[in-house]
Amino acid sequence: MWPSLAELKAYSKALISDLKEGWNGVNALMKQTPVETFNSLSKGLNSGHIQNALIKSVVKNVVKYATGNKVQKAAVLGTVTGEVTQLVLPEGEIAKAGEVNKISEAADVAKSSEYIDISGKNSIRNVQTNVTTGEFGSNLEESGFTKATTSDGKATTYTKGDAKYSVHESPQTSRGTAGASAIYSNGGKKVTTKIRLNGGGN
Amino acid sequence: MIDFLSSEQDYILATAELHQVFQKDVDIVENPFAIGFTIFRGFEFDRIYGATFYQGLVDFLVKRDSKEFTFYTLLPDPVEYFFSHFSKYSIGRMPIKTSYDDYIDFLNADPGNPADALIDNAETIAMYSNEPIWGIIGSRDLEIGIVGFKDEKVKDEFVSFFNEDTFIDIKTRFDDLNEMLKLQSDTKIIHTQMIENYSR
Repeated sequence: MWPSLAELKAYSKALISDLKEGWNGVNALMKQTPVETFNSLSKGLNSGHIQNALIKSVVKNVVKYATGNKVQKAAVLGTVTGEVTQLVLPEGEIAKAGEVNKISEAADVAKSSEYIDISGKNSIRNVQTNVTTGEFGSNLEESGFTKATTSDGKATTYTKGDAKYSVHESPQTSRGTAGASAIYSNGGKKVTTKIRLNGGGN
Repeated sequence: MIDFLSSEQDYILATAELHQVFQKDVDIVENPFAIGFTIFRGFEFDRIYGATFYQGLVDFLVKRDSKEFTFYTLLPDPVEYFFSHFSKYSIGRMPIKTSYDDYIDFLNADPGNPADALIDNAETIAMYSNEPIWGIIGSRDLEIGIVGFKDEKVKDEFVSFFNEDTFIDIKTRFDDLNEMLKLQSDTKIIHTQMIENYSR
């Protein structure tokens, strides 16, 4: 039996509250250094908090969809103030809600991403990741960073407030040996971390 | 506040001083240091952006009674690339009284496109003063900076202003990179060439 519109609205309200809380957590993460962020993400993944947040994001979109024109074709089951336990939605309707698929893909990426500290002797902090330059840039843009590209197209910067990532997809010169990388500089504009992205030459 | 050089006369002067330390059109791999430079030490390229490195350099210049040093971008070309896009040169003169914040602000300065700030898009750079007895060349791609000297006394004086782990053998720098990144054979060949070229 489908829940009533009033029940769906109640679910939606509770979910929005949960998501606001989650968004505050994301904002807090973005104010940390990248390594602190990676560590927090790692803890979040291990504890299941991030998966839960992503699932709830999906639910939010389902509810939004369900309380719109397709009320009778979707339902959310579970305790919305605790764990979301189950979604009931006709397959065809999930496909129409494109944002749901996008978030699901993001969840897959989050689950499979790795960030490993590989800092060597006599070097600033170096972090190796399996995230590609494209994924890295997309994530930053989705997080509100502003993208700019050099006039020769060889470097891209993403800035948000005082934080800046300078991304080089490949070496700038033929004798270059560095692979794809992102340099993070903090509020003091000082380079603090080099992130070795996937897809580089090394 | 430090500005990019914008007059042709200033560019010509800065370039003339550059060529007292570095040979024209010789790539960092080939060792562009002028004749007479025989002592070379390597360091991690990104250190040139650090406060500790900057302070060490300034302290050395104070000891030498130098008034300023020059940050000169070799690649992308300061004329064909930078001047043609932004009507200024990717070169800055730093009086030794320049604070670290002003130095890093200059490197982060937007010349007309924010991504073309030197800290983001300068690939090969040189640093030198009007005293052609020392010079720094560095490559972002190769991830190495090299400081060269004409004699041991100046080298000892220079390195005394920096943390003792800042400057290492060029081979050691490449060994560190290889250990960290597991470099490909093509890269190792370039490193071998550089080690030979800086052993002359």
